[in-house]
Amino acid sequence: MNKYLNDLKTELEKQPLSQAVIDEIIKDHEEMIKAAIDDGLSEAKLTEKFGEPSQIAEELSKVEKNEDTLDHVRLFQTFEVKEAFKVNCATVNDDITYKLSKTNDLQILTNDTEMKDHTITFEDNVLTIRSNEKTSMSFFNFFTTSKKKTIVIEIPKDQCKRLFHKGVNGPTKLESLTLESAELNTVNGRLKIEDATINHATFHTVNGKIIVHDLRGKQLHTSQVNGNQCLEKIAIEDDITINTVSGDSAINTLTSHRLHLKSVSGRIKGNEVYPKVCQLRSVSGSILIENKTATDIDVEKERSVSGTVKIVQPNA
Amino acid sequence: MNAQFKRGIVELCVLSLLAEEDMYGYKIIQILAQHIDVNENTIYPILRRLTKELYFETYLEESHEGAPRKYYRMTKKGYKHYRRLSDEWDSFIGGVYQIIHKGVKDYEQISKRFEN
Repeated sequence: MNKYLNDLKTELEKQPLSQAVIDEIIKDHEEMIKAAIDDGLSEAKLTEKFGEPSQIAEELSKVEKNEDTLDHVRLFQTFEVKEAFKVNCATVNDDITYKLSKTNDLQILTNDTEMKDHTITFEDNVLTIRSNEKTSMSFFNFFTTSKKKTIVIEIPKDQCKRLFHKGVNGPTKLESLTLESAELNTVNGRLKIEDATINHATFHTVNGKIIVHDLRGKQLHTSQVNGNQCLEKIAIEDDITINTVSGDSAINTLTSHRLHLKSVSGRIKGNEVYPKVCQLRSVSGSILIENKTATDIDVEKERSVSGTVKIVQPNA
Repeated sequence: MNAQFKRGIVELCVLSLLAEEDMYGYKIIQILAQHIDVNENTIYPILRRLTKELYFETYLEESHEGAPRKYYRMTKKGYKHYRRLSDEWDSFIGGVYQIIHKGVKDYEQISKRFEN
């Protein structure tokens, strides 16, 4: 078993995969192989049952490339930026990443050399990206990832004043950007925001997931229906509103002037949440804030019809 | 069978198993291998992809045999995906069946068409 796992590790290390992903894959295989050996599989038949390590590594690299690495994209189009601009992007299944440009230009990178099913224009200081795919899916669309495009939008520093994104299924990532305003929406996909300064930020999902790590700004509004959200290291000067219908929200380390948490039946759980003023309201969902440090939080409203709503702090 | 097509069918089979109950990776492989020619090389990447797409979530559970096992659990989003895919499959396979087996085909007559 050890030889097989070592061979697999060697093959995985040849692929553009992070160490954390490699470790997880090895751990998963160790568990599955142990179960197979307990079940009577001989060491000699490991390759027959589990496949050639090189093939596994290649196959998994394709899966991981869809989101975690951008090595497979190439420069598709460059636009010269003369003044502040806006971004309007509406896609269906694409994997979209917004990140900081290393140049003064607005650059579009993709894994598709033609992008025939997309419209990309930069006119009147507005970048428009629109996919022409239909939202309805046929049988074969479900069985293939070949239609899914990876699009990376590299934004020059301090030049984008408003970013509007609307997606359906694909993941969307925004990293290391400073923006005046951003509104990101997805129906089923994942919104991931990392290390960003956005003065006015709005994130919304229906069934997908919102992950925010290290966000600074003046206002933040997040909402979800059935999806989940995970907010970590949030520092907002003015107001934060977090809404959920039935999905769950986890908050870890947050500061703001005002915090408004609203839930219908979803759970909101927060740790190290320090607003100056807050309102907590739910119908049947629970809202629980637990802090290790006692601070003065002015609780304007704290009410629920049948859920539990409370802030727990050590006595000052 | 075309590899992409096979992967799609295996994906539906994996979804179908996890719609019924949470399972660990090797059990999924075992069950599928009893019915179709498939190995881990096909199934594990599907599990990873569907987990990344939030159709599954994972958790560890102690096992009598030793180390804890990673279980896969279908999410609400995964269930919706499964139902949609399953309906598409039923519609597709129903159409295929109609074309291949519509009525009682006269195979003698058909083979005569290709004799000369």
